Amino acid sequence: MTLSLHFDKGTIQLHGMAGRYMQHLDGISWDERTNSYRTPAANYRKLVTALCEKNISFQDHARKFSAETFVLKKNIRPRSFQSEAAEAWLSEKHGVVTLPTGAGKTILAVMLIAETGRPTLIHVPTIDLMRQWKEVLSEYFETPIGLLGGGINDIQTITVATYDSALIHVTHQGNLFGLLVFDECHHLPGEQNQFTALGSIAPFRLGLTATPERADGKEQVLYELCGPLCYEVHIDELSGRTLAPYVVETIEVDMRPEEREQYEISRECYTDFLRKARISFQHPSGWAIFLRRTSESPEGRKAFKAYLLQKKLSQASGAKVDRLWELIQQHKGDRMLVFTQDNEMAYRIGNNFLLPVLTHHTKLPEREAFLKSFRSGEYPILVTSKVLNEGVDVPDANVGMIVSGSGSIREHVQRLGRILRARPGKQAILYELVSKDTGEYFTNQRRRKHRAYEGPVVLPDESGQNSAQIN
Amino acid sequence: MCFRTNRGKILPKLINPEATKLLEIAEELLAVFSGSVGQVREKLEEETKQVLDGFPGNAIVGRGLEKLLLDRTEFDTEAKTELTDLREKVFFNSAAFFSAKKAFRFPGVEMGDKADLGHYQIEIAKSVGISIEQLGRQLYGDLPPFQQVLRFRKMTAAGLLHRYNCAQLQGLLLRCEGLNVSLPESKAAGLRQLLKYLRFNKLLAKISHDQRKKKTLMLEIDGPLSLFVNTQKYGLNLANFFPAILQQPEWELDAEVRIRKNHVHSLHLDQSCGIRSHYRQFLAYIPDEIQLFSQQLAKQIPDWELTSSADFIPLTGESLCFPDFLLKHHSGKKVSMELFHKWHVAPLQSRLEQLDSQKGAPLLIGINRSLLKNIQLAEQVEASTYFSRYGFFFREAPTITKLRPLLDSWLSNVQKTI
Repeated sequence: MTLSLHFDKGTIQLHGMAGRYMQHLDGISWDERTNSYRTPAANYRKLVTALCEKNISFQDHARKFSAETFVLKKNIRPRSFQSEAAEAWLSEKHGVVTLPTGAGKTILAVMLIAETGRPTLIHVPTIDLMRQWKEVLSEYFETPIGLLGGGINDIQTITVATYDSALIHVTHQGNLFGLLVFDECHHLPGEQNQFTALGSIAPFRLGLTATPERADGKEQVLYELCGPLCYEVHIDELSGRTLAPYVVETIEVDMRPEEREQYEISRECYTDFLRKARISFQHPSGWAIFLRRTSESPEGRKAFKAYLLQKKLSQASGAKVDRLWELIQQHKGDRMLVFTQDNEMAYRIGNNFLLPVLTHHTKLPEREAFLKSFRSGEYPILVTSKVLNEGVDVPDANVGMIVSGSGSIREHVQRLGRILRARPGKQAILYELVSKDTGEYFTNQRRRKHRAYEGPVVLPDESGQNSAQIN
Repeated sequence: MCFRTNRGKILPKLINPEATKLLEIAEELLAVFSGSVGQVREKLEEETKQVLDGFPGNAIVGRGLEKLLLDRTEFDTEAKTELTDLREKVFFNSAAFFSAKKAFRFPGVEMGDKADLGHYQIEIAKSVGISIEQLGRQLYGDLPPFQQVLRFRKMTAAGLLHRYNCAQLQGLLLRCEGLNVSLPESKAAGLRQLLKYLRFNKLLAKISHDQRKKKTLMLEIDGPLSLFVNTQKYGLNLANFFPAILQQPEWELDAEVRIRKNHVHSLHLDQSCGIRSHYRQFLAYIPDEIQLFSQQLAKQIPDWELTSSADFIPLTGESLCFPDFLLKHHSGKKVSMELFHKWHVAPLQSRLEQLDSQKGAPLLIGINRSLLKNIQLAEQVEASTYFSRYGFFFREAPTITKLRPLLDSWLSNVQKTI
């Protein structure tokens, strides 16, 4: 019986496998559950290469794609670093390319998709990015571009999918594509996301990111699934050339007196509870213990409410809203993005200042209209919580205002990236509003630990008005 | 989730579905949700909060019950054109204010004076012909708090409490890599249903008999990739599969669960936990074409009777076959029948390999002709000795013409063997 390969739920089953082949093939195991040999789908390239090298004849029923010729509608004149990155990746046709936001990762992908000539699945983290990739790909390729995600299931030779949707479909469609592109590929090592790569037979893989670092240190998983880091350029190496020069200004805001009083009372209530219950957040399970203990008694529930209130007051104080209003007026004529930690604050600003707010609640047609109007300049301000953190291209935005955020370095660098697309004469500025003498100060310090903040950085002085100038 | 741990063991804190206080709170919550159709979500959540504020027990239980009921509630999430149009007008007008470099002056207000915000709001509200209060209410009036309840799927108070307990355990199983289930007294029909849920959830199982208790079946359940990586990828599939285990009359379950900073803890459960499954039994369903076939069989070959299969057949490699039907001869002889439809490519390949490698199984196999479009499979069918003796093809459903000679041949072979 001839050896044959079959795709089965993210794996390859080998039928007619003679025991003598085993010595030549790595990563194959006998599966007692189905009485067959099996290997992860991602092992396809290695498996087929080994079978060919050892002259073992086989029938390939796993692969459901073939070579394609992609005709580009218009020529690309790559920048020097894009050519270098392309050359580095094409030598093995797998690997991770790290380029800062705004450096043209999408165009690099267009070049590599055309060069590789295989059906391609592009993974993106959000629906907005999915739409944006489709627009760019449609500009360059004759072939229709498919979408998978946001309620759309239209698979084409080149398809853009959200990570979530690709994960759902990989068990039965992981054999349709020869090239996988992972945009914002630092998402790939996530507990679930990694199976989009592991469960696909695609022999060619391209990872794109500005920030491969992960808080959990799982970068290695990324390189195992996607290939090694093959090219890297840092944000400061392109500043002023490909990226706009930028300034980061941290503004410490005094709470209103009544907010300060409420903040102190609620913080005391919450910290008293921590002391009495002997809960320490230094303990690995401190947060889980806090949640459990606060749900067990009326006193605990009061402390939990106090915890939420003091956090809300520091992140979303009325004083910040007042300061934001001043900043917005100060930047009349500029293109501004306002970032908040949560939707509630985003909509509070939107309702108060009568501005467009883009969150995951915004329906697809309206979010497209908002982004289009912001890009064209019809809307000079867009308020958002987290959906614009990553990748979405808003080239003319030159002012970012972070009203509140997490301590995540990546979130912060990505937000900075939104305003860095180069334009002649553009000077980008990022404001961070931090409630003075609150826990938010430390959150702000945590997220600034990135190379983007190195150089002539000056942390805010006591008046809170110093700025970090990086050119 | 509510649970304790003791020396690496998880002790789930389940609620008593018969406790009067809990049944009362469940009744009250169900009354609020049942009466919420037509109301907005904000109002529903306010009323729920009032009920839960009066609940003396653990707040997490109250929030859990609320979450389960919200999952059964359908809200109107459609875009509201009138609000989209209002936003477009408002933002067009507000953009004019912020686009211009020069100051937008209001009479009597200095630039930079905070009072200009109030004037700005009034101007914009005027420009769209509504009051500032109306504008505040309507601008983002289609956000979730303002969405209307369209439908609520009702359930009983006891059902809700059982569902809560089931969800508690499902929450734990999300963090496990596989399940070990033993079934001491399962009947084939129940097992068949269990394996259908297994396939539906894209899981695989290694099935074996307990060496000490021969009647007990052991199932090691995980997913295809579990063979290569320790993964919680199938946690969701396993959690969804769990209520199918609850339908078995007797069962024991063991799982290694990663909780509290990813540390492995063991979970052991059996039928004594008393949780009721919310999955439906579908044992009684027989498709129309099979009913028709059964009637024809009774008319044309009255010596044979067709029933749903109530037993399983052990095959090579510790695997079990759960045939679709059982054909009983009036002499007491029985033979099972398994049908393969167009979506059964892999199961048919595996079944033919098993049947060709073992001697005589009391099984007839029917293959839907559409499967022969797969050339490799067609070759395997052609080469199969077992199929040539005990197999037949069909289009929509088996026909008497095809089945009669097979039944005759099988019966004479059995009699010869005797």
